[in-house]
Amino acid sequence: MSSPAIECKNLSRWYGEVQGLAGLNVTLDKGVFGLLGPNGSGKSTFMRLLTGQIHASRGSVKIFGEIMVPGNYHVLRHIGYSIGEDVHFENETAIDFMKMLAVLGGEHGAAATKRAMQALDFMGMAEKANVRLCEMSKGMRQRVKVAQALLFEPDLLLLDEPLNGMDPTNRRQTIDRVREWGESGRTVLLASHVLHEVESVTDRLMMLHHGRLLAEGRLSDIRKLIDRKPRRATIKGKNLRQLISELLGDELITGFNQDIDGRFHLDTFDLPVLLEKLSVYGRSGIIETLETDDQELELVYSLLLSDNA
Amino acid sequence: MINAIKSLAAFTWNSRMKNAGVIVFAVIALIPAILSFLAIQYAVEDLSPVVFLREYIVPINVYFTLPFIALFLTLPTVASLYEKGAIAYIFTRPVPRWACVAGILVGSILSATPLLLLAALAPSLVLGIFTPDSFGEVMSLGFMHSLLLILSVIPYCALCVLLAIWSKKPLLWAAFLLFFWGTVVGSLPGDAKIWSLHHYVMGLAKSMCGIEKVATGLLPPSATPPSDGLSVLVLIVITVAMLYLAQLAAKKRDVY
Repeated sequence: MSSPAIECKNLSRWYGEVQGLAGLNVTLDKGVFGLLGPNGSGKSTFMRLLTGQIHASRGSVKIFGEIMVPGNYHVLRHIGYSIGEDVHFENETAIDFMKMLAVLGGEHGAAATKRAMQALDFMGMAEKANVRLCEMSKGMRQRVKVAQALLFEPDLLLLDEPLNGMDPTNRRQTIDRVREWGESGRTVLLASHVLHEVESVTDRLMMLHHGRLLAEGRLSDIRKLIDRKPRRATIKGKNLRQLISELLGDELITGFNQDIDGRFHLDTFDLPVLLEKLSVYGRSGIIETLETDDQELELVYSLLLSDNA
Repeated sequence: MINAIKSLAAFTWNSRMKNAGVIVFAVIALIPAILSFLAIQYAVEDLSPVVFLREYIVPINVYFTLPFIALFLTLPTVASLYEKGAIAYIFTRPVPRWACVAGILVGSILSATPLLLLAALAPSLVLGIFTPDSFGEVMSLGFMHSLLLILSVIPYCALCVLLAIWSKKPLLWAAFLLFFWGTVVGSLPGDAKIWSLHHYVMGLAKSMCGIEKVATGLLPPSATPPSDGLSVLVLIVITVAMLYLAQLAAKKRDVY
């Protein structure tokens, strides 16, 4: 298809007084893209606008050159969508659920069953085809959700928090499947609030914050931004002054301060090396607690917001 | 498109009928049969089963069982799909919204049908078994009664589907329109009743089941009921109009 998979112009959505998405201008073509943002940042709103579930308050969205509005069902032939929330049809088994959606997609009879089984098999859920959705674990339901999105081998795959509730093995398998899909010349947009989840699938991402596009580009560029700022380790323990003076003699520490609780905050550009050194002292019992600002997404946001300011 | 409608109808049927809640509906549908049994066991000797059916059981079913089953069978299916957000699975498929609405409506009507058959035929069967002389007449009335209920539940379900999609508080609206505006206003003397669907259902009830009055004297049928042709036309127009408005509402209402 010659038109871009997704083309948004000034796309906005309010829920009453609350801003869900504000003036989004984005064009996405082939490949895997991450949509990163904390809860309430507008990821699901964006996904719903892309799938015609909600109306835009302003602006427009085009899917492969066709305007997407609720009721424009023709465009949906190109889209596979996995819902963010853990919702399902209570009484249905996985295969009945998939067959029903296959029929709604245009297949019927044995062809619908075959397609449904293929999609379940692709997600490693063929053996659980006859289990009712309400009896499955959340992780299993997540895989069925991704499977239903893949039913018609869509050119545009939209996955809203697809890894939530999955165990590490399933997570790994799903990541591999999604990456595989993106590498086959299609477009995948994966929304998540966890940086390393997105990082494991793609290097290209968009970051939303309060409904606005905060950053767009390569994750490696954002990593460089992180590396430009010192990271912080916080320690607490007994007789730390000697340790601090030793560390200060080293160029590893770029700054430090002590709070009223007696905790020392150590700033460094090389957090892994500092942690390795501290772990040695930890083993000797000098350090009682050690915390790091490993909330990477929060750090990225604070960095980007401070840069924007 | 037909396959999509069939698939959604099957889904709606499964969600209502493969559910413990169906026992409640079955019990409600059996109330007329229980009343018939009590009447035949404890009534005065000259009780006419045909008159009892006409003046007692048919009104109970038209005034209460029909709107109750239409309302509580249809509303929860659609409303819970919206409330939980599971409707997104349906609306993100390449199917026009009218087909989605039609599928749910067909499923609701099919789910209501066995319950209404139970409500209409079981009393006839009970009365017929205890009064073998009038078995044929009672069963014949039972079949007409069944047909009346099945025809009438179509616009009732269509109205409920519209309300469930259009409103976030469909129960209040449906109760108001089916019971107050329907049963009560539709039985009032004067011209107000011509705006009530119940008036046309009762028009058909008079010609199909021969209802002239109700045993309780409450909410009596109109002395000047609409003709059969007009009644059927109104039921069809209401169904089509509700379906049209429901698909418009489905396009307009956001899913989240």
